Amino acid sequence: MKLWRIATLLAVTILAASAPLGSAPAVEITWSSTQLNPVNEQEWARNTMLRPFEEESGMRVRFVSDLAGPFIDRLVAEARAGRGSVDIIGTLHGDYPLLVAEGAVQDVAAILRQLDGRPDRTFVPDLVRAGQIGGIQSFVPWMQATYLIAAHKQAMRYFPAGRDPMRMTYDDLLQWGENIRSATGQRRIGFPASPTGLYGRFLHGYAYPSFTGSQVKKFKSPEAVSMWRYLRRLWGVSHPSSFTYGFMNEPLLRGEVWVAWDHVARLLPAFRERPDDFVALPSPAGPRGRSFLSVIVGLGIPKNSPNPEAAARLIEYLTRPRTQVLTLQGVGFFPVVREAAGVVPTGGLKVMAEGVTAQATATDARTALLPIGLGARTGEFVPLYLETFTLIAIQGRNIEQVLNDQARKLEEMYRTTNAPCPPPDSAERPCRPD
Amino acid sequence: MTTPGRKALLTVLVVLISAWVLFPIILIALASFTTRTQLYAWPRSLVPSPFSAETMRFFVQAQDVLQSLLNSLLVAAMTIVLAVLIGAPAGYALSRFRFGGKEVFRLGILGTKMFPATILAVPLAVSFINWNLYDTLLGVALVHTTLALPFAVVITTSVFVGVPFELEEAAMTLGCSRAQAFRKVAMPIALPGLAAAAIFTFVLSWNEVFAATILTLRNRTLPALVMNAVGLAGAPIDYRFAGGFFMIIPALIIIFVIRRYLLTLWGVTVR
Repeated sequence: MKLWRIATLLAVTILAASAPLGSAPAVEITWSSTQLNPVNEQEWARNTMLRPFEEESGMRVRFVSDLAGPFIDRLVAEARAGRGSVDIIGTLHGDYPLLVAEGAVQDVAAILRQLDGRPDRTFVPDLVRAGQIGGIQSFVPWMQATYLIAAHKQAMRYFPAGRDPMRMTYDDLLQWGENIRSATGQRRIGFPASPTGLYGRFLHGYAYPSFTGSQVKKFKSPEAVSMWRYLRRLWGVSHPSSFTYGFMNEPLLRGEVWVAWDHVARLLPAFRERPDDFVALPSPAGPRGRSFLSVIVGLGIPKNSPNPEAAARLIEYLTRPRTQVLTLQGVGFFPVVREAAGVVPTGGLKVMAEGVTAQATATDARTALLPIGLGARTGEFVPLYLETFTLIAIQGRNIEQVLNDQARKLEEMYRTTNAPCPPPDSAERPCRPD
Repeated sequence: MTTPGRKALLTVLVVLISAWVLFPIILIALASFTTRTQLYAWPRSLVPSPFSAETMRFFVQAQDVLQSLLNSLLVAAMTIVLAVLIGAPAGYALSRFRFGGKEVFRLGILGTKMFPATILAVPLAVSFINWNLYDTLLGVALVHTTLALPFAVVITTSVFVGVPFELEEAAMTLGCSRAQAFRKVAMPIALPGLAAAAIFTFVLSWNEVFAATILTLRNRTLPALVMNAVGLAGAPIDYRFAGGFFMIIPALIIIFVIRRYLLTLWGVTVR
């Protein structure tokens, strides 16, 4: 009968599928990463970034991209089972505290020391320090990113007279928007405030620390109140379509927006497309300094890595200045070793790299880091700031009242997770808005 | 209502429902053969010109894509076999016999749907590592079978309820054993229903990302490989369309194949 034939055929496929597929080359290492996730970046990683390493080492690298959830679950499971299949990992610095707490990663201090001994490998100290978690060096810095302001050159003539764009303040930005509006009748400053945009990062990592010197502790302070008054006015000179913007390169290229704040990777396509039309400027400074978020991506070695020596070789390759510049050119993540800065990229990348350097080396620079330790509630942090923004700047509610209500939610979140304050606040836990 | 009026209404309904199903598929198909610059252009024409297979070629050539397509089909096949082998006897028993705790058993089957797979992720992965099922297709198929069984049991129960037991009894009076009566009489009549259960199982297995992602590393299924990579913000729009189209096609083909068995059922009742 037909059904039985089909069943037999399927049974055979089961047996065939249970047998190992194909034959693997001599040494293959598995690299699980939450970065370089889009399909074109994955292919770039395999074909361009890893190919030279495979040729010089004779090893094959299996680059596997994962979402943050399954990525962490897998490493925790492999640590608990006492048997691992992942040799090396690459992920955001915010994932490491959990991995350290679960005992899922090794101390890589020895590898870092060895690399530091090389003449071409001076890691940015701040980034190395971010990897010191729970008494171990949990990762070797791999790439970094930040957020900048991109401006169309025709907008520069409206910049407040006598002021320096490379040392812009929040007041300059507002004045700039007002100048553009009075001259052209249009609101040309843009923010990525749609659900896929990263405007929330602007609120907690840029505006808050620049105005109050804090991301969480001074949430409802008098300084915060004056910051919200400022943001209301800034929204008044911002493009009304900001609610629909996800990636700012698009309105910039369309010419809809002249001045845009966004993640470097989301501005880069505009600089690539028309390098001569745009300039990259550092984020503005407030009364408490020029705060910016540093997104750090680190390389780690799982506790039960089958081949930690091969993983160390791959880490050495990935942090070479040449590979770092290749990575910048390929996916727009910036180098973490000083020597890479000497190998100057060209065109739009050069413009952006200068903006990044100007921001990082400004005398009033202050690094804020993404909040960590909120565990399953990490996803509620940014929406809380966005909601506060909507209530105050869009619906025009009473600032003090809204801040009191929202601070209560923030406090509850930190109390239940017992999470520390994110920098620049001191790392007391649980963090509490004053 | 008069017959012509009824016919016209039926035609309109058929057209509406077909359009509802087909329109998105057609849009995705057209977009996946359009170049990126054209996709970003405004206003954009629906029909690509020039027709470009470049993005689709990228998918076919990208590392692991064809292998994971094969993996997906194997997992789906194993899941169908296991779900029918386990689900059909359970459905048969529920429809034919009265036994203590039958209602509890029925509800219990549905109870497995109550737990989100996410909370089971880590313990499941730990167990699979210990049982050497981690990163194997059989392991993924086992999880998919568990997810599909409630549907398989519920569907096959109602199918066997519709097969008169008298027919099996008649076969047994004519010399069949109980097993032969089931195989030669009940089973062929139930086949369309089993095909429906198989389609359900296939669709579930084909679309399942979570277990497939967490339980495999090197032997990914197609959704686990592609969905994360094209579904997220950040993937260029042309890859999203091509990836979507790439995932639809094998599923459509499989469903068309299984559909033959469904049509025999409908063919009989409509006539």
